Amino acid sequence: MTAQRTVATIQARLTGPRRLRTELLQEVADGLEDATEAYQEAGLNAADAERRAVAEFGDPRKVADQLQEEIAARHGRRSALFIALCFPVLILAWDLLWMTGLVPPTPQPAPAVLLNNLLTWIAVTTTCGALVGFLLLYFGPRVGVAGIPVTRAIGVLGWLGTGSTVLACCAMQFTQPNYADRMLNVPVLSVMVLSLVLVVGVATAAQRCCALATAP
Amino acid sequence: MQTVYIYIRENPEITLVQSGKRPGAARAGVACLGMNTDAIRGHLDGLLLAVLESGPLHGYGIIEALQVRSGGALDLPTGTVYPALRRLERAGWIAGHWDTVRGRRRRSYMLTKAGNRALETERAEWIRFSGVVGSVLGGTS
Repeated sequence: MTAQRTVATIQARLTGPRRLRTELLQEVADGLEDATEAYQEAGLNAADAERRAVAEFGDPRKVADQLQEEIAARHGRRSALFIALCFPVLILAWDLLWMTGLVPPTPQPAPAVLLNNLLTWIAVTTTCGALVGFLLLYFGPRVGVAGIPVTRAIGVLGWLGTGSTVLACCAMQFTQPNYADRMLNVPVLSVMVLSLVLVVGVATAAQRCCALATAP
Repeated sequence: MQTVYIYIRENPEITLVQSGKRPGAARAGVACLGMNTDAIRGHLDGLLLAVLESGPLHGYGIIEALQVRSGGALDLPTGTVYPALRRLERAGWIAGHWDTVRGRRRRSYMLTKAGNRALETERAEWIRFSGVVGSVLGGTS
């Protein structure tokens, strides 16, 4: 196997942000080039020097798997922070509508109150889970916590959080007959658009966490 | 001018006698004593932090330093060093940046304050551990 083939084998097994992948591959290629040069300077011919450098490198598939773990963990850490910020923002934005009187206060039926509490509980649980995931991915390498399972867990948490939030919001429509009418004003529509953007953002980050944690 | 490295078995230090050539050439000449890979892996983090203690190094420079400081006894697949460096970087123990080394762009790493503390802890634990094991395995005199 040549140095070029070794790098190509790693490249084929890596998924994730292009910039980080390129950086990792460049570093590996530089290392192989430096090793080959060192052996040439020690007296080996070019072919033998490259062969020895590649042989000492080890199994490129194992190296790729370890690099993939780092790619996944870095994405997982960013995603965890994003999720931990999104859910409090969602809850705060909706609460502000009621607190500022932009939505006229009306007596809420018991199921609506229950769903409202459920939404708060989902947001708090998801935020806490994401913060724990962030800390595990930050301090985990210091105590030997593997990055892949934590990243996968953050992905699952993101999916559960967004899925249950969307379901609870849909159910809310049925508990209040005039709910949709009260939504037809600019502040409420703005918060709805913000919520949609955040939910899609969290779902996308969660999906990427799951994908990166299961690759290749 | 040629670089000559002398490996003193009793005191495994590499002495640079004459400069002018890459240290890698010396590394290539160091015989591999083939220390068990699994035994090394458990201490890889500490070893990497230790070679960075003297200053910033790029990926292959770290591999060279490991080999030179061990007198070629570390039989570790060199490819495993790159993910380990990224893991240590994620832990905040080392900081990486792209640098120009001998006219080429290379990613260099340096020890952070947290890394220094981690190295001190690792070193203290190793001294304690090796002392305990040594006193048992050393037999009775």
